[in-house]
Amino acid sequence: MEELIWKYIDNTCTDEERESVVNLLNTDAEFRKSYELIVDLEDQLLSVAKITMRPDFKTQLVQKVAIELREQKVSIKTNILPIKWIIGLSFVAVAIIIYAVTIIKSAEPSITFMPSMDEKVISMIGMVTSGFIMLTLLDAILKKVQQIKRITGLLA
Amino acid sequence: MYMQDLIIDNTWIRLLLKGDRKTIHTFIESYGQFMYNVCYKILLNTSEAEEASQDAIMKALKAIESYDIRSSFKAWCYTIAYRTAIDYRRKIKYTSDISTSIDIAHPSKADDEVNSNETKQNILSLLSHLDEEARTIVSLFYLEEKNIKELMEITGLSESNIKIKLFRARKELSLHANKYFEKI
Repeated sequence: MEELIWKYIDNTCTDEERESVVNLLNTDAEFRKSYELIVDLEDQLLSVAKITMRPDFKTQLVQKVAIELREQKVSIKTNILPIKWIIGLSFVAVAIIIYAVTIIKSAEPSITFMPSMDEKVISMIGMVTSGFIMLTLLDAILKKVQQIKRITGLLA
Repeated sequence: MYMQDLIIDNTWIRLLLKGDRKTIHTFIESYGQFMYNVCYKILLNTSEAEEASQDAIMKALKAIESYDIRSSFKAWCYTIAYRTAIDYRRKIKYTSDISTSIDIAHPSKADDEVNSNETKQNILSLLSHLDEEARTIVSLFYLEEKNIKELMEITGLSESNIKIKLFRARKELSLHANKYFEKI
């Protein structure tokens, strides 16, 4: 009986159900009493559905959020490995190595049993590049770990 | 601004994280208000709901980079607010008789739209008979203007599950309703 009343109130009942509610309201005093109680309850529930924030709390919240975001920006900047620096230093390192190798090559006579300077340069560039890739990966992993920590901390 | 009018995308999140004043305002007006409502319906007290919702909003901002843009932002906010309010409730060792801590001191401050403070007090006391989950389902149902689909998205529950829980909760409420409405 109660389920039927709620369906009627929510407007989710079928035409037959609606008809039967109307009939019961006209004939059954007990049903009518339950119906009135539920309508009253529904009215009260609707009246407290949305609780509005106090205006001064809202203002205070906006300010706190702005401050938090400012601080967050700073902490993101300082917590994460400085990628820009890594890229910049890698380029500088590569340039220095190439320059040094060119000087050594021009100063020394070629030694047949040693690997050629080009090979040395290539291997050095390779090492620096792989170092750079590893640092970038490390940076990405650290970022991910920070994120996971934040989420698990939140959901714990 | 209503939540459904807001498009939560990377640009919006970036603007929020940049501290764009207008975006912060819309975030608080829509999602902040929603989170406050979720906290309030669990804690049933203005000052506690304010503290918990503020905490939840800060948590959301700290974790916003982990939010998956393909999922519902509202559901994500709801989860954070719900868990924070439950944690808060646990932390402050809420007394078993919740009705004693129901906010009756400043009801008009919290809700201008409610005509009678007494009515509000009664309905909140009535709601306190429900467990947290049932209370949240009932509250969200009315908060979301009876939109079951929205509720499914927020809670992650199936339609039939929501309907069953809602029916049980309403049944429980109607059992206690008589004594409260007699006072009105």
